Amino acid sequence: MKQVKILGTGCAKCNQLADAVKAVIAREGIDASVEKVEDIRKIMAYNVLSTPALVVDEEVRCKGRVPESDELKEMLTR
Amino acid sequence: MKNAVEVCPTTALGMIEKGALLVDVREADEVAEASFDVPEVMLIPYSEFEERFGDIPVDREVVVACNVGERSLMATYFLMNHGYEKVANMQYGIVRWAEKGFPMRGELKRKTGGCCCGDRGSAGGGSCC
Repeated sequence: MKQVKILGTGCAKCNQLADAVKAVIAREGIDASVEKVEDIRKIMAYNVLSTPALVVDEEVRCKGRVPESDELKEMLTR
Repeated sequence: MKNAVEVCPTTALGMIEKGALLVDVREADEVAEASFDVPEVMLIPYSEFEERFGDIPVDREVVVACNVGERSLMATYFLMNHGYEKVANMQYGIVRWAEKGFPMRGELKRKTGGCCCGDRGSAGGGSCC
């Protein structure tokens, strides 16, 4: 199972990324858990200044934007 | 990961008076509106922080500030991740600094946080840092 984390302090864009990720996971039937990380100290453990960020299996795959669903699918299945 | 050192504006002012460097990570338009009136302040907008943080001296005591203390907290952790050991975040930012009547130029109109989202300023009033 893939471990997916959405890093962000709870703004609209962070929620937008979380929704988009969940939609792709459901649509593609990806076996993944999704966790939102809003604590700044925990976010900065990934050294990410620009949020929202997408972490898959502890690797930062994207930061500072909400990718289109095709790109998200690639990031989630790579 | 160690917790960041966080200081209130009063403690921050004391540190600055004793020689700490104030680093303001607010964006240029925010600084143009209102700014810290201290003898030495380094302006590194949050949107450029990743590229420009190397301008901050490693061996000096540093206080990082923004509007309400959230972008600056992220910047503080970022500096810690890059080996800065004498860095502290100013809690509550320039908003509390202004409320305390500490030295300022201009008039502070924005009382909420800026944004650490990719294209800054697009948060639209959410609880974005």
